[in-house]
Amino acid sequence: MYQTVYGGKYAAPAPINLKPEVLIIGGGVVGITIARELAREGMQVVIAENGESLGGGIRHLHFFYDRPTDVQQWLDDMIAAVESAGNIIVHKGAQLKRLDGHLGCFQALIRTRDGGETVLSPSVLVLATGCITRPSAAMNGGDRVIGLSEMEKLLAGSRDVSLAWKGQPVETVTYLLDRTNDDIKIDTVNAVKQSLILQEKGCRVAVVARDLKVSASGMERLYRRAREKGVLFFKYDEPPVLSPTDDRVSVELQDMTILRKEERDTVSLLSDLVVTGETFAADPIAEELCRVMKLRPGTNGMLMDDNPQLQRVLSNRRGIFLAGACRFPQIVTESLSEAHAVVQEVTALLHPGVYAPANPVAEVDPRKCAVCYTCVRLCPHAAIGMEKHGERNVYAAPAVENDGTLWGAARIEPVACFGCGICVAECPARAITLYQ
Amino acid sequence: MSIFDPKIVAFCCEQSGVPAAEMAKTLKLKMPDHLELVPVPCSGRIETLYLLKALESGADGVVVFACYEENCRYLHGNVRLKGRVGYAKQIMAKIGLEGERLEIFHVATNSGVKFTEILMQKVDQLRQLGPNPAK
Repeated sequence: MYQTVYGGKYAAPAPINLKPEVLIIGGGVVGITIARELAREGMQVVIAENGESLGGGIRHLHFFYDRPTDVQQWLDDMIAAVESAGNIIVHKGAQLKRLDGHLGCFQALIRTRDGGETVLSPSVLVLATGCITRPSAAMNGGDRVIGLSEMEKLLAGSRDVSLAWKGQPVETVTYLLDRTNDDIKIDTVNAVKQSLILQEKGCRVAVVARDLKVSASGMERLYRRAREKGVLFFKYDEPPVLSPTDDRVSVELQDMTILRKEERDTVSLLSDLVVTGETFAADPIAEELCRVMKLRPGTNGMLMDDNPQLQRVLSNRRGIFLAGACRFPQIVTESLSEAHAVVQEVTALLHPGVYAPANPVAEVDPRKCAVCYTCVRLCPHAAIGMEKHGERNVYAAPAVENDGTLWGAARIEPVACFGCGICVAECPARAITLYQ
Repeated sequence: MSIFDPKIVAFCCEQSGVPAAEMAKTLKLKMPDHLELVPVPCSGRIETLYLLKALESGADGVVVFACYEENCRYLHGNVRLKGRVGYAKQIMAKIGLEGERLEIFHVATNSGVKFTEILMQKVDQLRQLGPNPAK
């Protein structure tokens, strides 16, 4: 039997009931996939979308690299299914402004743009805000240098006609990759996918990249097909030089097939269009959401944790899950598999209907607590809050008699506690005990 | 004269140090004779007092096996530990104890061999330093 410091007995925390209600922040492709599947499991789902319509960042994508479906058609079908489903509520133009509570009894305040406020009490939250793309810094080459998403739009607009840019036919296209994103594979995937479409239209395509990243499922096959169809691939070490000629752009790069550096010739590719990668950035709203939801932001505002001890879709708080491009820019197929992972995790968590804290959890002796907020600041899981407590603590002024005043003390929420013991070691008053 | 056999107290994080110690045990690797393993849920659980008490009550050296930084399951437990070990070292310097008697090592779950290598090196180091004068 556990014996607490102040003589009481340690009682295992009571299990809490979980309602099958989920709040999803972000109505992009990940958000609506999760909503659809959870609704199919019989859960009540609310989507809070910041924009005026569902869809999110996938709106600038028109072709999948791994299946022939038209993206926008597929997306519209999904949105129609979500909006007609009985147990999915969609709030558009809505932002999460406050979040209190913990797993099983979150209190979320949602404010819509017209000023309406809704208080929801979901059991679980899913954050899927996605990322945004920005055109990268202007390159020498005039208006014949465009971004990948602009090219995507151009291709979608001329499905059955030949390609034209500002009224002039386009015959040669050069992709210049890895100038902005050196470690993200989306650019390679999109460039190889688009080059195959261009090749079918009779254009000549060259892809100039520092490193081709084909680490997505089916990408090596796609790359091989592009080589077979006649797409030219060039590698560079030093960035290629762009110089505009009267009606074209010349991309000059060194011939890397020659090993000795001084013997290398310059190859110049004359092209009608040069397509470059775009910069990815975290959605600016994610920073504020991290503060509201007490999540730990990662590098550059992205929410990815490079931590092998944490599973991919879990966050630092129990009951809040992360999915999709808000973690880091990723291709749609990967985002969807993350969405499925979240659905599995949420279903496994909510299906039993109760949650019993399994870990050894920490407990505060309210009589010893000096209300210094050290534990509140240090808890990595935002499990500690302050509350008024009936018993007077030892730091209260001696002159004040116990007249029924409620004294402040820290309280560790057993459901949210992971049992790491950081607060126990840091508490200056030694008021916290971790039961093992 | 018999060779001095130092006593080591090793605090092990349950996410990394404990599995590494178990692995070393399964591989039957050579371990120091006088070794006491103290499992803790996270290296952030270790208080400054634990480290100093260990030295006070007879340990010649204290080692802490924590996760690699940025790899803590509880996000920043090992960073908190680093601060406390720094503080404990300050106190040790004031009372005249060598700083080598207290050290953090970062291990992963699969570093059983590294675990014993570190401990054997520590034994050699402590042999040169001699017994803990604060005993």
